[in-house]
Amino acid sequence: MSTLRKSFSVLSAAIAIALVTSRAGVLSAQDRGGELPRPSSSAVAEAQAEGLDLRRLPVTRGLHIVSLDDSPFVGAMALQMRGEIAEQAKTGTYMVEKAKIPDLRAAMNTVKPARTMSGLLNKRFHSLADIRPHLQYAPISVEGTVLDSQPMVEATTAGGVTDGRWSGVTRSWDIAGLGFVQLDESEYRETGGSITLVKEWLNSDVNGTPATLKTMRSADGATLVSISWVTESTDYRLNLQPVHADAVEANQRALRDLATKLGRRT
Amino acid sequence: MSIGKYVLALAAATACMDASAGISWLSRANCVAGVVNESVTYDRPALASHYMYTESDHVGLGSFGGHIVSAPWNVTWRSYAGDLGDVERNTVRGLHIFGDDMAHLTTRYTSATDCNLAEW
Repeated sequence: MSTLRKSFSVLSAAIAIALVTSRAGVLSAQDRGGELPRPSSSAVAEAQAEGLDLRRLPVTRGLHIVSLDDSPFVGAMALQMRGEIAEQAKTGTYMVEKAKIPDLRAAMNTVKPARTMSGLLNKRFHSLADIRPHLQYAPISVEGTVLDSQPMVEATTAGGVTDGRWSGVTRSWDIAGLGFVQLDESEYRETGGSITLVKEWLNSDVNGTPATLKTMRSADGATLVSISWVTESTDYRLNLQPVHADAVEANQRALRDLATKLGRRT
Repeated sequence: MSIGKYVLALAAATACMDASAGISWLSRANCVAGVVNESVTYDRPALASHYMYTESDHVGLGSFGGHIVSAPWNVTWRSYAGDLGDVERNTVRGLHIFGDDMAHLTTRYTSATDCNLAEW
């Protein structure tokens, strides 16, 4: 009897220890009672050294707008952001290293179809009708905008995948007189997750929704104009590699104007 | 901070890329004879680099807890957190964090009990 009791105690202790030691692992990846899982302690420590305080990540799903001081960006990274925000506000652009400015056209030419699994799986599409069956939702309409007047160069799936269908899509067009335009969108209301926006970067709006409108330039003239906004369901971003890089205000105005016209017709 | 860390921090602070356009994320469980479990954050086909972090929690069927593998913060087009060798069937839960030129930070979650073979 005593041996049985001892065995039972050992078993109970083992279960208790297992429950306690498993807690961190379970918490790191499960959504418990609406509260989002947290990064592991090692990730927090590592990120801290690199300018991100992951303890400041939102604990609930959805959109969160926070001041830079309360954001996950800290130290040198926060300092750099503050400088870029100020430069954008003062001059309408901010300077970055060339490596920070993507060549949107060149990105089209990576991973040639049929030479990789990507090609075999036909991840690149050339019309909304072709890509629509691979998406979980209907992307925002471009009907009635300048994008509608030109053939779509490419569409690729993005976001998360459930049962073979994706939560996001990136589409691109080459618009004469304006430049190469990329429209990226990712649904987040149904598919979960959180988005943290830095309040100080919200310097514009798209039909009343706060937006970030900015122009990055490098010393050699590479330019990327962008406007990004997050609605109650979807994270949107328009990128423009302009034909006339020096027409800063005109490019920003054109991109914002385009953003405001998206989704008006279906 | 070591020099390596400093270099990485500097790279992160100065080389965080463009837009989050095209970023995807997924988890896979019990792949390739049932022993590969992984979570990945990536930008394909553009292969554009972004600031990314991925964590993958692998919990065996009937287990109280599992183990976590992670891909360090990095400027990359593919952030991979995975391992192989778990003989039991696993549920894989992924945590994916990525920055959009640091104007905003996105956190997404994935969960898988199969191989998600619709994607590479």
